[in-house]
Amino acid sequence: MRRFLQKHRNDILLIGALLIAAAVLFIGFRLAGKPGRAVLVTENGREIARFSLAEDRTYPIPSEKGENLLRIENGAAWIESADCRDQICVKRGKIRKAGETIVCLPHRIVVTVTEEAP
Amino acid sequence: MSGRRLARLGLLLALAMILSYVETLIPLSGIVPGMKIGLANLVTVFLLYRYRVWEALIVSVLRIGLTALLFGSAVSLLFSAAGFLVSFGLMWLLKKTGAFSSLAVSTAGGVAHNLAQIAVAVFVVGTNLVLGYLPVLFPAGLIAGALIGFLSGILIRRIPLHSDDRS
Repeated sequence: MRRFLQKHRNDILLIGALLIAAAVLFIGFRLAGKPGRAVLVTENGREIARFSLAEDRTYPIPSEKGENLLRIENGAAWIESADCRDQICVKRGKIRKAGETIVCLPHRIVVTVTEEAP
Repeated sequence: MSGRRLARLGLLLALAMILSYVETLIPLSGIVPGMKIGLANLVTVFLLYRYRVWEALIVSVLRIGLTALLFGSAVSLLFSAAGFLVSFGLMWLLKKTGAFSSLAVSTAGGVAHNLAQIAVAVFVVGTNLVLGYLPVLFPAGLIAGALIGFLSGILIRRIPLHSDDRS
């Protein structure tokens, strides 16, 4: 055991540090997440809309490159459909905590949950 | 460079491209959006340890360019290229120190790959809100890099050296 630790000391330090960083990021983000009040929608980094999470509705988000359909229900927001190729934003699922984000790269659209009401 | 060596590098390039294709059959991005294991990096790590660094670099760059032509797009090429260059550079430096095993080198490479991709995403989308993916993509890169490092470690140990493989 001791020889193993000595032989692989550098490996253990490097992988250990990365594991700790990953755990801190992953768990910290979960715990620190406060419930959101609204979602902020940006296109190319510019704000294009803000919607309250309190109101159950579906919003079309038109952009230069295509359209995403944003659904808000029971305090959570998700992309119901998008006319892009990869559908990563649809697979991302529901977001509800402040700071959580859905990115649609093909359309340059980012949806983020914020603490402030719209 | 001998003809045999060149032929072997060509075979490894073909293998890496097949692995990239096999990867598209695994629907991992349904679990974590955008997550990939990066199977083709088995070849990159193997090359890094068994061949000269410029040989590893050329084969990997060709693989990325060719697979982007076959299965990807201009945007996906930008992401793979950025992720690759940063992670390859880091892995090469870490390997050069001689202090780490291929498992640790590849794990760090996996994390660096995803960090570079997030950096590109910040640039492409024009907002740092993309950093919200960091808590997911950092561990994802770590897991993928460790898996690739573990598997390529076995390959590096087990595949016999050929007479013209000295690097």
